Amino acid sequence: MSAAPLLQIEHLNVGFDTAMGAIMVVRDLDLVLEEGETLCIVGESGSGKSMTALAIMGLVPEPLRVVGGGSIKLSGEELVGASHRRLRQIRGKRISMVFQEPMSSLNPVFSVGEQIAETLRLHEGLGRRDARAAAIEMLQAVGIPAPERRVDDYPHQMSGGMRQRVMIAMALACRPAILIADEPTTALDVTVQAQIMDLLKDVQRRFGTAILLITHDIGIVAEAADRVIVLYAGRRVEEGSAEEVLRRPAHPYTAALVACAPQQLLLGGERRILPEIPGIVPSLLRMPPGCAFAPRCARATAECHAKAPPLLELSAGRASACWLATELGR
Amino acid sequence: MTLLDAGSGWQATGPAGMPEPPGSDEIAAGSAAARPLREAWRMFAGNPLALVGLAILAGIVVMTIIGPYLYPVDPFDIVGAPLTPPGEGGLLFGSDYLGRDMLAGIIHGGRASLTVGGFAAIITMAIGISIGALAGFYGGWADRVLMRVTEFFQVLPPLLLAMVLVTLFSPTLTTITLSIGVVSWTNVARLTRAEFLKIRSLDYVLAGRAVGARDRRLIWRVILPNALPPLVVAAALSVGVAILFESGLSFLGLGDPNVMSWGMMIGQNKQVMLDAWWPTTIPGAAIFAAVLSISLIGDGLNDALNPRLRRR
Amino acid sequence: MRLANAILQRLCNAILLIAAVIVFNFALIHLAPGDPAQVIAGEMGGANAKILAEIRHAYGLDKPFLEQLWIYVSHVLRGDLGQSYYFNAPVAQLVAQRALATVLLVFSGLIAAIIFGTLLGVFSARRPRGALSHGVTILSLVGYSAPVFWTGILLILLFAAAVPIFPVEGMMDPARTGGGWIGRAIDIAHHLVLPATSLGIVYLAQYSRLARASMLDVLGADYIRAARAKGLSENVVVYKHALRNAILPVVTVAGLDLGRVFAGAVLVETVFDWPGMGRLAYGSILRRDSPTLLGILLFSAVIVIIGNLLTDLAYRLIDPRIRTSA
Repeated sequence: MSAAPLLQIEHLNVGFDTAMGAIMVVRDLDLVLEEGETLCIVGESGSGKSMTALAIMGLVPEPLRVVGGGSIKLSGEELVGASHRRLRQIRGKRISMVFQEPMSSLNPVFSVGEQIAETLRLHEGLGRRDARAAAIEMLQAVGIPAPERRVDDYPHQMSGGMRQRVMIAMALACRPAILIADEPTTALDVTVQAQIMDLLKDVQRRFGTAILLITHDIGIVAEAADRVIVLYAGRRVEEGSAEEVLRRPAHPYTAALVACAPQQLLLGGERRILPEIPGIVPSLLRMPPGCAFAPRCARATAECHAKAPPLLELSAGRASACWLATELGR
Repeated sequence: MTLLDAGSGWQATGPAGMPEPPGSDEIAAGSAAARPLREAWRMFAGNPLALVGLAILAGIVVMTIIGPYLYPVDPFDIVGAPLTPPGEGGLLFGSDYLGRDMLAGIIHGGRASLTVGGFAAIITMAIGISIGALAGFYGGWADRVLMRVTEFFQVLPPLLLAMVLVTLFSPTLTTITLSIGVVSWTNVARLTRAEFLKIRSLDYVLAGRAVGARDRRLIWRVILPNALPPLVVAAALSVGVAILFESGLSFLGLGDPNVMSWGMMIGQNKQVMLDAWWPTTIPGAAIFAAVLSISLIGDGLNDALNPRLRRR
Repeated sequence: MRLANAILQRLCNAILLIAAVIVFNFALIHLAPGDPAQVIAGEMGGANAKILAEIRHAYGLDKPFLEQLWIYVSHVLRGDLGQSYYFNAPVAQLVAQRALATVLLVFSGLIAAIIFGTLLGVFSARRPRGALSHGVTILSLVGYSAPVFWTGILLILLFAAAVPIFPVEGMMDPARTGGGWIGRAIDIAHHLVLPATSLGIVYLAQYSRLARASMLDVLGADYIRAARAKGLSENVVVYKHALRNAILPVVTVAGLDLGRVFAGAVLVETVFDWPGMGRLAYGSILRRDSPTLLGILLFSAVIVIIGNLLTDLAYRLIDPRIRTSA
């Protein structure tokens, strides 16, 4: 076995320059994704989690770009600064992505079969008929009934849950090593959410795909993740195995997220009124000098407001960016 | 007052006045509507192209109003040799194929174009808004009938129909204005209908129905004010379209023969266009400037009144 | 099946519309002031009361209005559009002689405007702050505001004097003999360039702006990001995934514009001496030749309706949401 992990991100910075100074959406992010595992990136909207996903795909939208000397390596191959041509070969073939909005992520003027077959024809060089047959197979694999009939349906003829299944079929058509799922269930009904999560777990088992799951929902972390990275205002604040992070959060922000989650998802307990984290994520233009979470943190000290805590390794694979980490994580 | 939150700032006249007795709403409407209007004016005034348009149009309007007093030459009088080039013989824009003063023609022609354009646009808007509002508000069979009528007028080539109407009822400024209005309202009707369909199911209209407001009141005082922004833009543009229509008719020789107009000047000098460039191009440039200024204003209004639909 | 149903419904609607056009035009022309018998008599050189009465009788003008309408409608149903007062020839024949020239002018101008307008819109949408994008904005304002006959005159001045590479008058070179039908087609196409350009430029201006706005909209859509995430090349993303969605508003507007383009043809035909229906219509209006005029109005309405059916069909082919849910 070579030493290179499947996906390794080091010192990733995403941002853009404005008249009022550089705005960083993602700061100094390190991440490792191993074959077949599920890594969750969790955080509120604006935490930089979606931008991380787009950076891996090489699809960071203008005027944002990857800045600094960061690196994204796929099985040892550097993707930052790779040619457009090379990136296109990787997208959809080695790394695929499923988006949040199944209602608008499928092109309304092409049948779902064509849209799945398109990927196969592009990356696998399949002919029209073979690609269609493979598309039907994929629809079957993601649990769409009567796939040989539905293959000619257009997106508007399907429900949201069905469309997300199609998106997953499309993403997995070329058996990619990595599937990035950006809030794949957020736009769906609760019952459908569970089905889609089950589907993701199922295809991961069958195809051995590594999943990078991006969510704001701590319940999904509890359900699906092997490991978890918590982002706040573009920075990692905590990292570790999902079980440990949920049981003993080593950062007040994670603790608050866990406290806000519906308890029955986590522990099977009674539903109760959820507390909210007071305050809002600070503006990226006006970041406080100290810990970004300090203004909302009940336990913040003078030190927290003055100086940003570094990410401290607590044990192997377990880290937290909080001055109180050792105290909390025990 | 929570109803106010249902839509944009423009619905102020509707819900603010609705539950109150008639009469009191005018005041409320006036003060509440003033703010978005001032905001719109600020955006309009910050748009250089729109201001250029406004300046050109103002220049043309002033020219047509006071020009005949400053330059009292009859545009039908022969004042010099035919086809005198511009600048010669004391003729700023030269003379046409009969030796008539082009400058006098431009000044007097502007009157016909702008008057017909303005009044035809009023007729266009009146017919279009009425039909579109009724169709959009009532829906059902009224909508079907009115939209068939609209389709019918869309199928008849508008200029051809205007030509027939003008000739049948003998060309005067009045018949020309009416004819242009009658053939060009279809797009306004479609636009109004679409707006009404969109607005009529919004909360504040439903609330109006719930408190028993009469249809007439809902149409004119609740929905129409909210549909105004796109209609104001359409009204500006329809002035330009009407000017183009009028110039087309008089270019063909179907204008009022007793009134000088820009289109007529081009039409009458068409046969000499290869001998002398000015008798056709100068009036054409005048039409172009007038319509362009109105288009610029229309664009500016669109950006100011429909900020969400702003073109990029 | 649904498509067939929708087309059938459209056809019924079209027939109703045509019937309305016939009745409306007939009523309009016959109820207007003026005596057609005087016009006919004028053509024949003066008239007294006796001759006028004979003319009225010969043309059926002495019958009640409804009866005249009935006679006209029943003739039209048999394909007989009546006799021209002026040319003393069947109207159907007169219209047929001119129709092709006008249809050629209208459709080449409009289709060129759709194609080039869409392309301009797409190019400029890919660089919304580029020079071309500003160019499209200016073109849309200028093209929209210039009267077609003035554009035509400017083109004539340019191409007759400065750069004489296109003919500025008529539809064919009268001096030309032989050359077969290919030579004739090339000759006609050569003559068509300037008239079609001046007619199409108004619509080119509008469609380039419309296509640009709609392309910008579509390029921001989730499914475009998803298409990029599949590894498709930028050209496939733009020309396959985006263009097909972005062209829909252009198709809709072009369908609604058809009547206006037809009318604009009258002006262009006048400027370029293009031997089309517009010229005939203009002459017939001045001569009060109402049977010819009625025939032309009917024919242009039919062409517009057919054009609308075609755009409707095109829309259905492009957008499955309409196709499968109508």
